[in-house]
Amino acid sequence: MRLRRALPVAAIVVIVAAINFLQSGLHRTAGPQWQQESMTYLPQGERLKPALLGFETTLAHYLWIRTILYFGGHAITDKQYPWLIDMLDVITRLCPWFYPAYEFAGLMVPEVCRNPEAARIILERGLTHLGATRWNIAFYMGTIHLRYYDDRKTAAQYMARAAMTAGAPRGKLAATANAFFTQAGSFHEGLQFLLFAYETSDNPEVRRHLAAKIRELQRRETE
Amino acid sequence: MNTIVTVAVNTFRETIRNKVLYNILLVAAVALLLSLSFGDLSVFSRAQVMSDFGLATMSLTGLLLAIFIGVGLLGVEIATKTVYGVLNRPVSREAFIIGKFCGLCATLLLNFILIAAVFFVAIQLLGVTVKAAMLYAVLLLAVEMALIVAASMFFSTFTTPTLAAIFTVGFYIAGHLNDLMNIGAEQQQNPVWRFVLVSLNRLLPNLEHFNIRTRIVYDLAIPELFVAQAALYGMLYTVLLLLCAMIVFSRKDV
Repeated sequence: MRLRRALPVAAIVVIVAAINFLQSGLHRTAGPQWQQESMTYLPQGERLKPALLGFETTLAHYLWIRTILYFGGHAITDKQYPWLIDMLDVITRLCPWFYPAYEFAGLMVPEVCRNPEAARIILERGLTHLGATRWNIAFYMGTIHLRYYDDRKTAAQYMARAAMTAGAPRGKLAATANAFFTQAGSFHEGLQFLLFAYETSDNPEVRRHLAAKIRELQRRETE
Repeated sequence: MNTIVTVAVNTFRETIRNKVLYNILLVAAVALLLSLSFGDLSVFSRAQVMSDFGLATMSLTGLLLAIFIGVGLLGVEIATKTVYGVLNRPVSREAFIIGKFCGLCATLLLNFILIAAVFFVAIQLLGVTVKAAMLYAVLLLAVEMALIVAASMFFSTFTTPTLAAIFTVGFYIAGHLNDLMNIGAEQQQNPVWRFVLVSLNRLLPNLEHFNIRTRIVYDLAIPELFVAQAALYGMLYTVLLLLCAMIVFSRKDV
């Protein structure tokens, strides 16, 4: 009687163990290429959107989790990320307000994927949707233009935009923008921007910092 | 009026006794709690991911509930001819439809309140601030589900329960793709096709009006009056579908 009761329990234990064994076996058999290839079928964001029946933000969040796992998985193995750009592109198309994806695009894509152009395109989208509230997006754009395109004037314009965004460390960003303008040969543009930043700032600390910078530039100009 | 109340109360009691309903509720609660756990995997924007997954799960389980109670009750009653028992009494077919709808909506509302309570308590416990605007998203979800119940009741009046369920899912999909018909009509060169697409666009409800999840989750501005207008739009559509159901049902030879 006791044996009859124990048999189903034992069978369950054996089956669960077999399932677990098979599962890890399947992962080993499939290899790391498997997951990578599964992203091949990721449709373009615009094509995907209508089919999602209002769940595009949810899919974007799900894809974001997959992106984190994908990045982590490859960071500890081959350090190759061929699908990272596509994933970030789809996420930001499905949910253009999802800020972490832009941060990832600005910081990781130019460096680890060696594709600053893709990062620039994704960040352009971010500027359209979140440019008014997140200064970091314009800052990343400025960095990309400076570092990868050696275009100081455009970098300065993005830094200036970042400086004027709500919540930005205005004093530091304005000084950076001014430095880039000066290096690009647009001394007056830089000075004009500093004056504008000074006039529009209500933070006394920032105003003091900017005033000192403006005085220094005006002195240099008269010399 | 008394007849409507009696039918509504009996419908409510009948659906509440159904064990399948509790299974759906259990699945909803488990799915909700599981979906909230995804927030931790997202590393960044945990609150947004959790809120969005929770609201999306509520939407999907709400759809499941609406189809189950809409088709499962009226459709099955007509198919098994148990509806005779009620219609042999002094109950008009119109009062029967309205009473059934009110009863089903009461069940749906009760379930929705339970699921919403699980959602709000869970996200609060997980450290996510509950925004008052989230209630708007839940309210519009409830309106959308009442509309789906009305649609499933309408389909149940002239077809089998299985087909009514398939039609209701199709109605839900078409309702969410409504904007595409408008875009398609604008791009269409053929006047006949354009007319067909414009007619479909006008005829089918635009269920995207009830989807404000993204706007709530990302604190995007929702124009004043939008929620009230969308709720009114949903209610009017529900009344329209119920009227159609009454017309079909009153002509039906049961």
